[in-house]
Amino acid sequence: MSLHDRRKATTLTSPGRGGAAVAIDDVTMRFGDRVAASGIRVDVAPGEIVSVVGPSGCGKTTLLRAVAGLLTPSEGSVKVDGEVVDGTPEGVGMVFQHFGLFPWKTVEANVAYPLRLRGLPKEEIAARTRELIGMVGLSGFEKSYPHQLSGGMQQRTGLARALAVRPRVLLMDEPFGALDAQTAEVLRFELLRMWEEHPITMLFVTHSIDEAVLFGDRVVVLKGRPGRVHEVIDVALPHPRDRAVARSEEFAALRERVWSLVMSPDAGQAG
Amino acid sequence: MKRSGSDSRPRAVAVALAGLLLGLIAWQFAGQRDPVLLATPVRSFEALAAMVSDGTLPAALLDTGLLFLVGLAAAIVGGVGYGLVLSRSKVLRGSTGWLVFAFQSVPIVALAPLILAAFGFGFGAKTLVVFLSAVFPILINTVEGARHAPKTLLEVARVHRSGEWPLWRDVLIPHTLPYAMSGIRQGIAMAFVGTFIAEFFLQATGIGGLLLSASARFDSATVLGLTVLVSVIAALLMGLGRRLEKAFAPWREGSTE
Repeated sequence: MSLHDRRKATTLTSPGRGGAAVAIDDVTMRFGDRVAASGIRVDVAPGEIVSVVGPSGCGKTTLLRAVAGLLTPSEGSVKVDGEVVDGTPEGVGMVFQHFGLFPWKTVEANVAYPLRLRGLPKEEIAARTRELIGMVGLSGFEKSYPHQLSGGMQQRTGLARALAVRPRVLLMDEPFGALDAQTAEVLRFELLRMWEEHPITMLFVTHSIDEAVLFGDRVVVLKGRPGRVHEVIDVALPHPRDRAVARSEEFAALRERVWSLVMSPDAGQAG
Repeated sequence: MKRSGSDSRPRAVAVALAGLLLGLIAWQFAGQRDPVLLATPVRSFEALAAMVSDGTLPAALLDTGLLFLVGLAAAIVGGVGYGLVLSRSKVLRGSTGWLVFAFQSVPIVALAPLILAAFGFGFGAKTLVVFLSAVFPILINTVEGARHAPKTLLEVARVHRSGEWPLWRDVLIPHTLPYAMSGIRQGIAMAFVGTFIAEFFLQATGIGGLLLSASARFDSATVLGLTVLVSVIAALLMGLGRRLEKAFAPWREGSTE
């Protein structure tokens, strides 16, 4: 189906590639005596969006940090395009819950940060920064500092920065969790629209069941302490995922199903 | 908050000036009653004017100013530099951190004879006294700032595969700068005190030297004139320090963090 077409799409953000494959293979995360996640196995195909939901403390953010190379699995391995992750792999972008913007840098400088680190020529940095800022709808705010912007605009900046590296994998750490409901809603559909234009692999960690179903090609439900994979649900909703999809009966049914899985008494504990 | 600050500024200046005027009047009356012990402001001012015209005061100011600036500059470079290094190195922090805290509570006056014995009383030894007076607040504030660099921003740097130098340039130094500036503001005050300690206890030069010789001659007009001059300079320096502290963090404006 469309997965194949998506991968073929040659775009600005992902020249000639539809994203990388992510393989989380039997990963256990331990911090001292505490086990945060145990025996997690998730494969993400190139260009696929996999949402990860679960109650607080189920280890979903820990898992995302392992894929980002910020944490090393105690057991098992994480691979991006077949390469074992050891430090953040090239082509992996991350969006942080609390934006992670440098307060002393302007919007422009925050977005240009990854490009500067790569030592690209000045003109190229300027051109790409302008393009990215336009893409997230922040033209005119190039010289603003983060504290002068609303939360939504700060996260737009965070998104532009994550896209600056032309990511093949985008890691989303509850990206809309710190925003008010309306702003989050607007940004969700904008991000989905951008993704339709430049489809790349996405691992989407969230508290929101709506968000998980809306974004995911599949939804992974983590449960228990330590967190384990409780269930994986295929989301056969049509693309593009717009407001009409979010209003459909299929969406509501899937949402109910994920809800009851997340809320059901801990079956994951026994396994 | 900012608005009320700028509104009350002219009033604050007026109040300060009124206080100064009252002090001068009281001083004038007191001086007229006991002119030997306490010269009047008018005579003190004349004494200063005489030292300006014969060139001793400008020369002394230059001497003292140079000592102050060199010592302070060394303290800033040393304090900020070592502070940043200390914040990134657990080993150094463990091995020398406690020393820093122990050393900062030693009064520099007590060390003056030791420094004299070890380094003589040349410009180098005096600079060392100024340096030691000013370096600790700068060092300690810098370390505190750098150690509290936000975890998320360090993660952002790691996700973008930042090297060690870019990490300093983009994260550690900009984050630490405002903390270092508060340290420097305190350091300016300490360096000022240190400068006079050096001039009193090592070798009587500069303003300190003039003060010493005048009080040996029981020339209260000169002593009081110089004292007032020194206080005015100190007040101006403190104002400058506060300005600097604000100027170095434009992104903080209006933020409560």
